[in-house]
Amino acid sequence: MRKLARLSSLLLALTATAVVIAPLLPGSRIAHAAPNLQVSTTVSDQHPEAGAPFVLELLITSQEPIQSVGRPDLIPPVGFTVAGPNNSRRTEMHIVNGVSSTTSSVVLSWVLTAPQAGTFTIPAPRVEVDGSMVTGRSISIDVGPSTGAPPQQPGFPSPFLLTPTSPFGLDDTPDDSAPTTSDELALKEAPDDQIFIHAKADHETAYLGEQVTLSFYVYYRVDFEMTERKEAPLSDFLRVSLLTDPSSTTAQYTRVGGKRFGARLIDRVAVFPLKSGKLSTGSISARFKGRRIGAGVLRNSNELTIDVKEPPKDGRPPGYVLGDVGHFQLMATVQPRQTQQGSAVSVTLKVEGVGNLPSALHMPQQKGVEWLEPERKDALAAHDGKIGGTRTFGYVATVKNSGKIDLGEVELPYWNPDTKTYDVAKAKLGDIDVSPTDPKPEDIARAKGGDEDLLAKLPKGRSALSPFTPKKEQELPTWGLAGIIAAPPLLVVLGFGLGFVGGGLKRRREDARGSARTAVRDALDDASEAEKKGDVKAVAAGVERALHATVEARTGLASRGVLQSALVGDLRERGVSEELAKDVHAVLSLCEDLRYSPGADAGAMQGLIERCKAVVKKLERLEPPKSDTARASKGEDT
Amino acid sequence: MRAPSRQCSLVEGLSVAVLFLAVSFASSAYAAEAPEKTFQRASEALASAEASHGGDYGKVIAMYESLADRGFVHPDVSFDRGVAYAKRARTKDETPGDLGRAAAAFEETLLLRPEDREAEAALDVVRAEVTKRRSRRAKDDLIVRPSLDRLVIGLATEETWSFCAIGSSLLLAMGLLMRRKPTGAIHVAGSVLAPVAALLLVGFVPLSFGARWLREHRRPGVIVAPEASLVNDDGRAIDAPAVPEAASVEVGDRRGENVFVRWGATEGWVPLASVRVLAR
Repeated sequence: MRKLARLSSLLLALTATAVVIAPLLPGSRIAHAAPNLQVSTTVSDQHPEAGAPFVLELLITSQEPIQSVGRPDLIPPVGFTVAGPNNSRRTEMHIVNGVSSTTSSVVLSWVLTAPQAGTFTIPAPRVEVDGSMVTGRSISIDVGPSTGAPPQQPGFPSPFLLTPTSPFGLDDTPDDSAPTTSDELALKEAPDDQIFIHAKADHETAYLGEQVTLSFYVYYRVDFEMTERKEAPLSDFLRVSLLTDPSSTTAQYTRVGGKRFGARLIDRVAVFPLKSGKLSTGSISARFKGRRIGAGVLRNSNELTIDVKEPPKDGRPPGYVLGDVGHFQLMATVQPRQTQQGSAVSVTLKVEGVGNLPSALHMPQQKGVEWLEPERKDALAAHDGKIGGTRTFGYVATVKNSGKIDLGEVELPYWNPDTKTYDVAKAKLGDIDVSPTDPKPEDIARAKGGDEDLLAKLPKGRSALSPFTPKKEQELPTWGLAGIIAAPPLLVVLGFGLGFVGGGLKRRREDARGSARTAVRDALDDASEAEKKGDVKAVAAGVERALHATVEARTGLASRGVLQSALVGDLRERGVSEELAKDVHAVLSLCEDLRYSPGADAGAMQGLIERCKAVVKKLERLEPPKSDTARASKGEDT
Repeated sequence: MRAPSRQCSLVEGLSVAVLFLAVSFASSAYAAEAPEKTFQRASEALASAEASHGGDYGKVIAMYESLADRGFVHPDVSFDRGVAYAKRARTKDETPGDLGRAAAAFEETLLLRPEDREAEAALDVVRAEVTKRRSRRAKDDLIVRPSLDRLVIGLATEETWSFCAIGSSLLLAMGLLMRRKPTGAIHVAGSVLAPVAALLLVGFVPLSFGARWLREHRRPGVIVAPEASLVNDDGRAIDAPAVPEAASVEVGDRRGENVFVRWGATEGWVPLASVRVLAR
């Protein structure tokens, strides 16, 4: 039981670990929305008819660029037919008062058809975005019974997939005599008879920083579906989107060149000019498809030119920053009002108004008050087509002096384009009471040390010379030092070299000596063998050979070529004692007699080998000649 | 109208001649007497100047300088010279560079007698005063560190490095000899000792010869001008801060009126008059 409990605990721990770690592993398939992703799921019609197509849309929005989208998945209820999905992307860049933000959007649209009436729940669609599985939400729809009306193209409440309900009927010829609903959108002429995009500005002259609202309309006389849209570059403007849901707009009917067109707003942006001059907005483009116009039809809008000028220099208040255009109010709060010297107080300044809110404020500077970089928070939104709201600057001021300190007044000069005058928003920060703190001991010491007469600390001069022995420099020349350092290892290496050479010579000598000994030993062995056989001549020859080899090895005398009569003398000359020389001579003479006397018998060779051995032993006590090994070698040959 | 002018010239000429004779006499007088006696008189004059609070330090300094000119090297003479310069820097007679010369004298004292704590304290006081005065002129206190080679070589004396090199050489020889034994503990000891000693030798030999080169080619010096700007071989200012007064430098070759100095890792030429080479 205990083992089972342990095993269960282990399995539980492993499972818990896997659950915790698995989402962290790269490529994990467990569904998790990536951070900063906003997901919404919508249907084009909550109450479709049975057999009528409708659109399910999954919109994914991110503040960071979306790199990859894949593996879309929608499991429809049983019997539903599904087409798609269509995948569309859009990237928007917003620059507001120098702060840029990017919004990437991906829309996946499925066209579904319910087979019968009833209430159905469409399971949440899923898609993999940048490696993370993103899941929408399930949606319930009430499918009504079929009325028999011809099926309509499903409408996409999408920012860039737009299929307005046809004002003309799918098969109808446009009726130019029908009434219109908007004269403001009327144009003198149409760039295209069927469909085109038109850009319109609320005003075409503006001050630097003043809001200009751009509206983009699709004018059409045919059924269409907008499949792709490309934003206007607006490179010289700060841009804020005003239209977040294009599907919320309704079609208007107007006249263009005498013809009745439908006009639908597809985008509206507030732009703030960044510089003066004639600035082009660029054009918006989109692709359309439709029964009458075909697929992938590209249309570009007209380009607008905004004439931007600076606010007048006359009457410009000091501290005005170009671009601060609108109508603002300034409010300040300071907390706490009582503090200690060296501490900080929090100053919050809130700019509220409509227009291009300032990106920075000028804080009143004074000695002893240090302003740190502010923290900024925005709450901007469009109200009646005008961008406005609040921008809050959170400052921290460090107060170094004590007493009652007036923090001063913050001023925000701005240009009001409505009144065409400069105005200054002001906020008084008021006084703060700063109680002094005790100075630190090191500060006191530092303050005192500033004017201290350091040289007064100098000792007095010495009245007598104390004993001093100048250091004698034992100048060792550089080569001497190098020699001393290099000598020990070099001497050792030299010794090794000499030893090697000497050892080689010695080895060779020893080898030579060993050869002579071998020759002597072989010769004596031959003699002994011959003695056993009773071969007198062979005994004599062996003894003679051994003796000659020994003589040559020890004295260097090639005695074989020396006359018997001269042998004793030659050996004497080579340092052999007379007695030994005579012994050698006697043995060799005896050997000669035995070899060349026809009547030599076995008795004559008795004791010859022992005698020879004794002489050889005596000869071997002699130091071999120092001359060279050549002679020894010759002896070996001999 | 000409007469006064001529008279003026005559007076000026006589003044110069008298001054020249006086200086020559004074110099010859100092030169004639024993250095110990000159020092005795100088120390008495220094004590007198200290007692009178603003005495004639110039005369005292002249006596100490005459000793230096005569090649009389003694740490107490250098110390008193430093005291005289430093105390003159407190008076209205202060001459630009007095603090630098005082620092040079105390450095010289320490060079001759490294254990002289009083000179070390006096040197700190002088350098602190230089720093204080620089800060009044809104100049930063510049701290330079010696380059790595100087730092390593300075860890020991030249003799020490040489002995280490010789010792390593002997150990290497021993190791080689011990390795000749075919087997056994001696062979193992030799096998360890020989490469270790070879490595030590490779390290100590450059240090030994580097220290020797520095002694033979460089001399210690101190900046004795309010500031010394370094120039390169072409005489152009190099991109480095000016060397402050009382800063210790290495003094190298002399070229005309300029002398090569190394301050920390920065090298360049400065006017000869702005550096005092220390005796050793």
